[in-house]
Amino acid sequence: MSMAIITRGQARVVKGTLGIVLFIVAWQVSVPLVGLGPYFYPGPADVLRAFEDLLAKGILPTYLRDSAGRYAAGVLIGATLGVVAALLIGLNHTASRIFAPTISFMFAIVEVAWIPIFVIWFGYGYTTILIALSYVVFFPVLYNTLLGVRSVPPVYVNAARALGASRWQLLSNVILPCALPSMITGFRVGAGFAFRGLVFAEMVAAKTGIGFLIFEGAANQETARTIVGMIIMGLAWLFIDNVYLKPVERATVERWGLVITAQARE
Amino acid sequence: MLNMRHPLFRPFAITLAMLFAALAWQLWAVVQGNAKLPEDQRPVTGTQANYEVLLPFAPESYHQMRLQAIGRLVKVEKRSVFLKDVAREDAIALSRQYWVVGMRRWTDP
Repeated sequence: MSMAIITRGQARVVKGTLGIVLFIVAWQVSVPLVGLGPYFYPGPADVLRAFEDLLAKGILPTYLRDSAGRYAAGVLIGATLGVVAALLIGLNHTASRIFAPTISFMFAIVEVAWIPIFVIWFGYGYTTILIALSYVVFFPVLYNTLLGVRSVPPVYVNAARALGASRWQLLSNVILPCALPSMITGFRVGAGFAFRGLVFAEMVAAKTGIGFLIFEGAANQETARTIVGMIIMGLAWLFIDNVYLKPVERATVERWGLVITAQARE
Repeated sequence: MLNMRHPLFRPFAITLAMLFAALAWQLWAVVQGNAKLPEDQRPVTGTQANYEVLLPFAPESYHQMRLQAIGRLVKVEKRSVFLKDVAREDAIALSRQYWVVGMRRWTDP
């Protein structure tokens, strides 16, 4: 007699899928009970139809591609600037005294407040969205990298100096590796914030994109399309986080010895 | 040799798979585009032509915006959009869109 063995990971997937299925069934069952039209309360079947429609008309792939391009560029620029600024502030006391108050002030001003100004300066479109996303990503990366840079044990720095390390060797062989896990955490947090920023920026400053789809669907009384946009946003984030961000975080954190893996323990 | 247990193996493999899928999709789009708009229907390089673009649905504002970007949108009749002054490259690119079922030359009466 054979016995099916389900691993813990598979059991988690099965339970997660079951939860989603139950949610969809409850949602569909509630539609006739609520008794409102699809404009107010679309059911899963309406949303599925809207999804098929958007796909067949070529709207969804284009919007998804445009959003992905803006997101990738914004995150890349914001993260690069955040790391550079953190190294500048973290390694130079004069730079820290000059820039830290301004950066703290800017941190308090959310991107939502900046977008109307960006629209006035740069107009509707790509530039405004790119700047808004870079702005969102910049601060988490900056503060986390700064934390990493300032947490480097002085004994490491002194030891490297005593061994004759140059400034560049100190940075590349001691400070950056020590700060990397914090940097990656900041990148992951920033990437998550950028996702929210993307929706708002596209609602205000774009004529394509998933954020625009959400906005346009509501404006045209096609609520099912709005929900499709929301679901796509959620799925896209799950994909980015699970396929890229988590593995990169795991690789760097494990690489620098902050976590002992089961494999290493054996 | 690739280490399949490395944490970055999965992102790498998925990215590679997506790139292959995108490449395959582009190849399919080129083949479909050639069938929808054969060479004799395309304008000579540097010239423009008028086209009736056939869609399997009534065009929405998204399609009208896309089509306006490549030519002068003259009229819309049910599922057909009539464009004037479309350049060769734009006509070829349009024929590769999967939501375009056909394109034919059109003369303004």
